[in-house]
Amino acid sequence: MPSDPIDLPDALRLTQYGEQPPFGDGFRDRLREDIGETELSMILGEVDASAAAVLVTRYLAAGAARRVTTIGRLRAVGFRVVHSATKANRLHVSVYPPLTEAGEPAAWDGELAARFNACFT
Amino acid sequence: MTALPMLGNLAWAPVPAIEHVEVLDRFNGVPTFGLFSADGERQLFWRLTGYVPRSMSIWLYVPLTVADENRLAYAEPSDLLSGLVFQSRDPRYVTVGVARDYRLVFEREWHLPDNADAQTLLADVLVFLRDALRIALAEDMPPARREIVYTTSEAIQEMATASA
Repeated sequence: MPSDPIDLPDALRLTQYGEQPPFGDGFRDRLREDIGETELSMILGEVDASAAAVLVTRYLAAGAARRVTTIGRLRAVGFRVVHSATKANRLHVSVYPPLTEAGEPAAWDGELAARFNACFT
Repeated sequence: MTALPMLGNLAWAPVPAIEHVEVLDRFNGVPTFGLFSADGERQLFWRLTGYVPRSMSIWLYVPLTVADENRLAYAEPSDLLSGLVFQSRDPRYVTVGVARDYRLVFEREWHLPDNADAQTLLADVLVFLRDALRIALAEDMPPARREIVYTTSEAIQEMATASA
């Protein structure tokens, strides 16, 4: 997990990009580690679906959708939130699963997915 | 000669004997946009669509000239594809790839339309893939391969209809 270059206050809003069928499957609410998905990507701040699409896909993608939460809501239920800017998206934020008592990332199962979904308005 | 993406490879590292991958952006931990080097040439990769699908995504591979690379190095983050993929003024041959679970299952060379905006480009790519997959289905192939091509064709057809 990359180090956090800035301290992200709990009140900050985050936007998750999604895609409606047939272009996508709504919003991702869990990792698919078996095919390389190691984090859930978010956008720093609240943006509309069009702006989210441009940031993520680089154009006004058909079927673009978005939902919004805050860093505090995610942290309150254990998720780890890190600002992780990429060269092409300075607003990229990574969300990682909570750590278990053994210090390992928790399995992102159905229960954790429900907890993640409950963070969004 | 440009190294061509090969079926079965990871969508962001699609050629054999890849020398270097530079990731410029990622989504859910997976590279979506960047550059790779192979056989002494650099190519851009970009996930055109399929950011939140159950499995399928469409990728574009663009061979880069030195001038393209220089332009990319100094472009604003929001403007990285202008002139190269969108509103391209030069004739460009690219490769379009379809991936399932980020592994390439179908690829074809394609002439990038001149001066196309993003919506036109996406619509053109979907029509091109729809037709290419129909042609592929008319050919002999093993049953397992036919199943992959058929389900890919159905998904592309649905997207092409929705974006028309």
